[in-house]
Amino acid sequence: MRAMKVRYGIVGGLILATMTFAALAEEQKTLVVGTITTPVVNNALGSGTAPGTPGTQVFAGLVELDDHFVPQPYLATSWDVSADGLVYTFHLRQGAKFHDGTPVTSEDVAFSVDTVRANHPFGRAMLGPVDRVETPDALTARFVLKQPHPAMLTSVTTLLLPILPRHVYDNGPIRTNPANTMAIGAGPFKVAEFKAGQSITLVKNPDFFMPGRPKSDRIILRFYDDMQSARLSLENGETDAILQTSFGYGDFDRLKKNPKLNVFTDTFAGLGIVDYLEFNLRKAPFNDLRVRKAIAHAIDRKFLVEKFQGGVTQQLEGPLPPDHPFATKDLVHYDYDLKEANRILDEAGYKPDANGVRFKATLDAPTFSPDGLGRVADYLKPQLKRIGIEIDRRISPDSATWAQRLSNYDYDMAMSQIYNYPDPVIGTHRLFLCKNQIKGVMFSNTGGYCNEKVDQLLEQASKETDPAKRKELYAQFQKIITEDLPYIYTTTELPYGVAQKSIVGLPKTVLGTMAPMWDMEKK
Amino acid sequence: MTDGAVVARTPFTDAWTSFCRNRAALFGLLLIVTIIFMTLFGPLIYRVDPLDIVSAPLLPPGEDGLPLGTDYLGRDLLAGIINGGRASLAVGLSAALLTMTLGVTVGALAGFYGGWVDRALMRITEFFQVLPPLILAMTIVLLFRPSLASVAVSIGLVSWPTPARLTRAEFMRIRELDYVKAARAMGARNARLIWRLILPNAAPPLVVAATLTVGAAILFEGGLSFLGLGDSNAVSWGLMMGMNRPYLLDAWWATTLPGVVLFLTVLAVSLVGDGLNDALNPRLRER
Repeated sequence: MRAMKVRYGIVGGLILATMTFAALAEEQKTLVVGTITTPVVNNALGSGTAPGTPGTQVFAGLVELDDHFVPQPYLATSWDVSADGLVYTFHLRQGAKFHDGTPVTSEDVAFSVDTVRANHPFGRAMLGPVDRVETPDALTARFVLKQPHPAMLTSVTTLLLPILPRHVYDNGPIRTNPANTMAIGAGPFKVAEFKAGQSITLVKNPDFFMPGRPKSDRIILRFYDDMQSARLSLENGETDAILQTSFGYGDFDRLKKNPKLNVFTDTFAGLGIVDYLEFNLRKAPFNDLRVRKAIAHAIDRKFLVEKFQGGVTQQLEGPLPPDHPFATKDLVHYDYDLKEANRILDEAGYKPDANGVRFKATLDAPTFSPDGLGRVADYLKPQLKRIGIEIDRRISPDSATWAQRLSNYDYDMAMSQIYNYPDPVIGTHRLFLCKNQIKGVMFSNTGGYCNEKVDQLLEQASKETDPAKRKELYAQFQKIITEDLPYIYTTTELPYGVAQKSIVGLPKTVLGTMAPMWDMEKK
Repeated sequence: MTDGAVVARTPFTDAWTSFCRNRAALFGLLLIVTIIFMTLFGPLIYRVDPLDIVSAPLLPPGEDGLPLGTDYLGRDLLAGIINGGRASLAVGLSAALLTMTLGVTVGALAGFYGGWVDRALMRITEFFQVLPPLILAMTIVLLFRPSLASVAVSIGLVSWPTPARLTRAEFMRIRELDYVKAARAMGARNARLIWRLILPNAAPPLVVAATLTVGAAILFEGGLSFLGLGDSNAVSWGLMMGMNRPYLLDAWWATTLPGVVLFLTVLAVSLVGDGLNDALNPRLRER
């Protein structure tokens, strides 16, 4: 009897041990990656990191940008550009298949162009110049342009133009297609499970066309909206990596000191994130350039960068971050000078009342950037009081409320942020074009800025194929913006990623987390 | 009888004597008086604008001549705590006033008249009782917009059912007592019965409830502000905690110190409430 028990015990122990080993073995190939909540995987329908992170794992694009902004072959093995820059011919990879086994054809490319142009927030800017996509054979997609489009190759990365299987997505209204969550693409990972509001489980695509990739069997994309708990999960090892955090800059130094963690900032140059103070130019007194100039003089950018953002970010005076390929130094400068600010307002006739108040203004800020936008908005209240502007700092319970107020022009002043992306056509133009005032659409020209000269410059720059001339056009544009001051730029935002030191093969790219994690694995 | 040596015994002196016997209650009273003194006169003595940036952010206490250091924007934390008390106490008191006014009115009408009035009013009360108070308060604050007034109103609107129930029970009990019946038989009108006879006799538990409501309202305001739904244009303790929370690991003092003051205030109010309960309740008084 006793021997039996012992034997059972041994057998039980063995089974347990085997199970543990199996679990460990499986654990080895699974990565837990933190990201922000997304309602969809299909990144043809939305911009930003939320759909961009899973989308770039599940879909493949024609090209990928490397860490020097240079397009590298992906679904397209090569491409030719005609001498006049009006025809781009992409040669698709032989044998590339979608997750359901159907081959990737030029028909799918043409369909994806139409879908993205109609549904993605930048669709018109990126693919508007494409007149049509010709499909002479299954493996050749010929983009015929209406005008030269220097941002063409940047616009066909997985992030901006995921190649969708036509037979899955050309099936009634795309917004309600179930494959927006259980997405089917040709990328390195398949969607195994989509838990709304919690996580996405991705499994290795065994038929992926790049040999040896992906290196991990499973990636769990876990949603974190509370950055405190996200940070703790990294510190206690529950999460392997968060490739783009929105932690405060105060955490930067502390995380760096943690011997188990790898903190990196080198993969975000292509995002070109800038923070700025935006005005509702439809309203007095914000339509008065002198008022905006005075406010520009009242902001101490050095203080913001050093005291609020731990010296991680950069002071910003124009629309593009200093390290952006199109940035210029030739801008109008507004030094921190409260006396000058008060003098300008005195001269402009904004007399202070008995309490020293010249006028009142509301100020909104979203919640997604606590150190960049929220804290700077809080800072502006006492700061602008010094030049006689009484700020009513309106609290938004979430970023959606802030976006709603701005896009419906229900605000005076607001802290805001935009991703410029590697090419200004994609991310920058939208804030400045007169015609891009679309009520209800966030990150359009919400302030109501309109300058024909700027429209002309941007129009020209979007067609100019000579890089040097193009850079010059954008330099002129940047200078005019600092003269007109529709936005007062404060600082750049530099997201940073955090991973356990045991994780190797982090995506090397300029688009942060929105690139394939095919080389990532745990060592 | 010797002359003048004996102070006349009234219900009030009785209650006061009993209250003074309760050391915890006395301590609470002392604490509350100190805090009220601090918020009323503090800003006149310590003249620093709580919203002004005076130094580098998140300085620890004692540095740069600032006794409690600075918050996440570089504002003086001591000035914030002193001035923040005004908002916290003002919201607490006005919310409690609103709670009691609504609660006592509804409870008195329901308890006195009974019948369909009672049924209708109680259904409304139940409606408010089944909604989670914090969620309802957040909704109300957001419907208008976060300001001290909307926060006070929202707290009042979610807290009145408890005193309403309490008042109703007291009224139902007292209206059947002999002296009320006698007055009614003598032709006293309803208003007189309610105001002169029943309400004063129902007062002791209501006074206690009102005191505790003040504490709860201060805490509630702290909670709403902590969640980011306070009036960001006025300093309050809850708001200070909420705003400094992201920096808790770097600067514990900026979140903790306002929290300690908030805690002490609510503790003091609760102790006084408890003391009042013991003092005003004739059954407990004999213990």
